[in-house]
Amino acid sequence: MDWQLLIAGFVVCAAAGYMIRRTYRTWFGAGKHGACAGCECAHEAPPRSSRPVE
Amino acid sequence: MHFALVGNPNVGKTTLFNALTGLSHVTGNYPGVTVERKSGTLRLNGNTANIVDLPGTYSLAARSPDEMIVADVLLGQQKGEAPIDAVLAVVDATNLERNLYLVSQLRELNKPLVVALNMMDLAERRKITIDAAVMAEALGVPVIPICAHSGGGIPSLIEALTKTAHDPSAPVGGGPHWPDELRREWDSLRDELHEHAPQIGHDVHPMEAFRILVDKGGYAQERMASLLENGFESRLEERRARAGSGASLAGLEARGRYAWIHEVVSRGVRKPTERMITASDRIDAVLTHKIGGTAVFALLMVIVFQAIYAWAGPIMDLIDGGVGWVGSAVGSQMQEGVLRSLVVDGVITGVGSVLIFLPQILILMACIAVLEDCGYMARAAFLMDRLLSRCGLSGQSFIPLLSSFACAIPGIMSTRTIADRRDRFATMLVAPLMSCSARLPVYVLMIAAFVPNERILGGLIGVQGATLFAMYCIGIVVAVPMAWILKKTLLKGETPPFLLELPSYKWPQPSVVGGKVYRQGKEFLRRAGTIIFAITVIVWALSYFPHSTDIKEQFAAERTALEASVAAGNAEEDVLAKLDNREAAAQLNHSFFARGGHLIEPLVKPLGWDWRIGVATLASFPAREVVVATLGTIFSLGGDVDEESESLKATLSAATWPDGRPLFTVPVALSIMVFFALCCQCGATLAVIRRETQSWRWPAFTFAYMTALAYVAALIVYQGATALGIGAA
Repeated sequence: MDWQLLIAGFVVCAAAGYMIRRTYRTWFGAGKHGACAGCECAHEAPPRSSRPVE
Repeated sequence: MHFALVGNPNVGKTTLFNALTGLSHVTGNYPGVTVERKSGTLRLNGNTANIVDLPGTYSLAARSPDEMIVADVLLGQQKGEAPIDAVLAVVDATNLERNLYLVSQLRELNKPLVVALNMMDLAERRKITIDAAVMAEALGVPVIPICAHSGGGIPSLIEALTKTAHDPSAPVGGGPHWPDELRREWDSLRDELHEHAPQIGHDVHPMEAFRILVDKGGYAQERMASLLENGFESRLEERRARAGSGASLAGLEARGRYAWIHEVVSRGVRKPTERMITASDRIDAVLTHKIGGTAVFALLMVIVFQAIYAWAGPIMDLIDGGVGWVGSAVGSQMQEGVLRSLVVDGVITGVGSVLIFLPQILILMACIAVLEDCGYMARAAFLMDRLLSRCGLSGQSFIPLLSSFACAIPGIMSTRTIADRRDRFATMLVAPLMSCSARLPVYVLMIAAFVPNERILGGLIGVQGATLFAMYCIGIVVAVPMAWILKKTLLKGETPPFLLELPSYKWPQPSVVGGKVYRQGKEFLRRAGTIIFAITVIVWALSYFPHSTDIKEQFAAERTALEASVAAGNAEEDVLAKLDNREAAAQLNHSFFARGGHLIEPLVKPLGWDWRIGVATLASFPAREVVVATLGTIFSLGGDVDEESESLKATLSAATWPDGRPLFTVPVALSIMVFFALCCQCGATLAVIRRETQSWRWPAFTFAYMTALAYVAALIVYQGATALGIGAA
């Protein structure tokens, strides 16, 4: 079998596996940041607005 | 020892936290920056302690999710958080009355409390004199003057914290005075809750009992009602009526606390009888003006988008050349075959097409970070309140929406500060309409390729920059009526009142701006190396396989004949290159991707797109910036390129329909940009909406409405632009 095809097949399978794992972690993962575990943006402290004193 | 760092929003809490722990965090200049938990090690004299930075809050009367966190941590009821041993309260020395409101509540926790008087330098400039020793005596707790920004007073603060750690003692002296009826009902409620301690799970703190009694419909009441039997709330209502003798308990609390605060301040603070007009006030007279402020806002935005084009060009060309060089170098070193195609046509062309846009993203982020850090964005929120209140939202929604221009995820997360559920949901559902940084590569690619690089208005404004600005405006223009519809239908409710504190202007700190730009750049490169890389590889596989041997053999025979003609001088050499392109196009047409693409082509054809644009858009639903990489891979594999077409921009300009008509025209480029501006192509954003709303219904709704909106808008733009003859040669 063509060795180039073998390597390319492995890379494609790894990429597909990565996307499946990432999708699972994003939607169902119980990681440090929960739902958006796959996105680095979740590490940014979100800003907040003010509200009046009651 | 476990300290909690507490204070009003925008009093320099995060700056102090960084100064005390040495950790680097994001700081902003509009009210508050902390929602997520942050903790660090406090270096005391000869010892260490743990300190947790809590979200900024004006009061312990919790209503919004982040205020609930503050209340829970201080009362030791936050899951996963160790009970607090002592509290470090940060107050703004230039606005003591308002800040001491929270301090008066913190005193009632009966835990060791240290007050850090921050912004003393600003107070001095405003001729406000504060006698810290007198204040300490009046408050019954240590009071340390500091300037967190410059580090002034930090050693004294550490000394005071060290003393508290060694000898913890609760605040001394009296606090606000409460009417007898209120005090009686408070005691009686504590007795009732004490009896129910086994059912509640803990003995209720007197402060918590006070909040249950005073905050009608507040978090403390709701939580207790969920733990106790049905009769609790009706008994509570009866108690409130007796405690207030018909008057509002919230009003009674405010009057009691402010009376005590005025007494404290009159002893320890001297300030000019007339308020000084500061430089900030003078600037605000222009920047918050209905017309002048709006004009300055629009001008600033135009400058930002012009800068993106003017400054990024040379660096982009450098990266573009680098990617091309790497592609040629790697291609020439590898044997022809499937692996070379994967590396050159897939990975280098695909990922490289996206990397080119890094300089523009960094420039945009730097501009936003500068405007945030100098204090301008709070003014922009004030201006936007007028617009947002017309669609049922308030300026409170502006900061989450503004954050969404970088990324929708922190924007959606920051809606936790909005107390009203319907306003919070409405803000969350329109936040993905703001053009995030992932949309920028799509806009820039289309504008660079199809919008003329001309200047208008006497050479002041570039057409390309103006088009980019218009694309960013589309999200806002659509979000306003969308929020109005949501607030009139699914999320019907009153427009909430909005009170905003405008922080003083300051020069932006290079470390803060640099930190934000660095994080954004790192995140962009990380995504290029992970999700964009992975999707590019999958797109390449779907566009390459099944590689037909029949097509190969058919073109091999033709090639042999042409080579002979070229050798005999009967044909030009470029006929061989043209043959290669035809073979590549035939192979692409035979691929899995093309088969799927031809199925959806009838759906996307009304938008002016062919199957290649259609599948590239489909492949970018997990992350929208993938479309650039996908277009790069598809058009590289398809051979729709001549020898000079090294960049993707040139490749797209050369692409044609099977009948030879140009594929990409100005109307097509506009329809693609409008589709990407309005469509929710980000899996992580939908996931975070699900988490924040605790429901699948809202992310499904967001995806459905945004996709439908994007399709209809792209259709109108394409058909309209074509009918008007825009871009026609």
